[in-house]
Amino acid sequence: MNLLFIIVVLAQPNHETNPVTIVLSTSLSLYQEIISSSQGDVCNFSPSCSNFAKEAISRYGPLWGSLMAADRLMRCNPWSYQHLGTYYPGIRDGKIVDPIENNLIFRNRKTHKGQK
Amino acid sequence: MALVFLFLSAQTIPLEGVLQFADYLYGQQDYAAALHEYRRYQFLTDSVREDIPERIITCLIELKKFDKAIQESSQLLDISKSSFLKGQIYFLAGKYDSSRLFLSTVGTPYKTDAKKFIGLGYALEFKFQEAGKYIELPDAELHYKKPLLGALCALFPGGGHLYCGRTGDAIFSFLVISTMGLLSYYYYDHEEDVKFGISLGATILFYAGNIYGGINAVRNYNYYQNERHLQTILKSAEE
Repeated sequence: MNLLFIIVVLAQPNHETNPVTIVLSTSLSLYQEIISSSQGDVCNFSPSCSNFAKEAISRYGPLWGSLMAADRLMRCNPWSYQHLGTYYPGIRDGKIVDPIENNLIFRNRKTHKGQK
Repeated sequence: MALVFLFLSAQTIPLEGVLQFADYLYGQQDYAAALHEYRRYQFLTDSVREDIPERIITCLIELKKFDKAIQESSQLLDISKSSFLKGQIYFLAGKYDSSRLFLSTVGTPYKTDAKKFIGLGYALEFKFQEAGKYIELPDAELHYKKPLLGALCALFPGGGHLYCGRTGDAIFSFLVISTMGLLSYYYYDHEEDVKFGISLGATILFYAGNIYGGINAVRNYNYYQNERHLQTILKSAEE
């Protein structure tokens, strides 16, 4: 059991040690490998909801990451495309661009720093 | 021997040719090569054409070497022009505070343009009130929404999204949370503790996510209000 835990920890990016984060990201990886791969590319967004959740959890911890992921899952619906240009910046490869940076409520969204 | 060769070759390089080639490269927008040639010309002659330092600065800006461009503009003899250029460079680098610091010190004939840059800098930071003191802003009433009100509305599942006009998201959130809630109640009623625990956990997670989404929706709504206003300002500034 301990050996399994060590393997799972070492398999995490940045050698994550928070057990909740490890469980969540491992579950998401398993979902991507087993369920998502058989479903095909069906998510409306880029990055996909599972990638968004994985990144959010690894960057902002299990609490904020889970909240962001839950919000994203509820936004991933047939009406998402109606909000292009009003809530989402645009489309890339047929997917709505919605990076994590645009969904942080605890940090001011970047303005046009460095643009010409 | 090598020194003699270098001396002779230095004498034989046609300086005007170097400059013409540099100007040609500059015209072709090959800024890296043009910069190289202008530097060579600067090295070979003492009497440098007046616009060359400015061209070097332009090349550095185009190559996004903003720090070097600032260093270069410090060497200009005209202090007002130097400050104006520094302000412009910081503006292009997105450092609007530093840009304002230099632009506010320039005198005529750069004052009008400097004011425009200061105003645009404020606008790019979404500080429209301050921007209005320096540039003329197009008439537009910005209707912001309140994040706290978004969170309060989201206490009813989907309310936060509805507050921002995202009806589809609101309906979907309501359906997800209510289905989860009903499922929890069903398992509770049938005394299936494990399933009840899992479904209750999911309900709580999605409900909290819905409140997060309510605040997030408001913030994104306000962001795009600012963004649209900024685009009209930039369009009118271009005209």
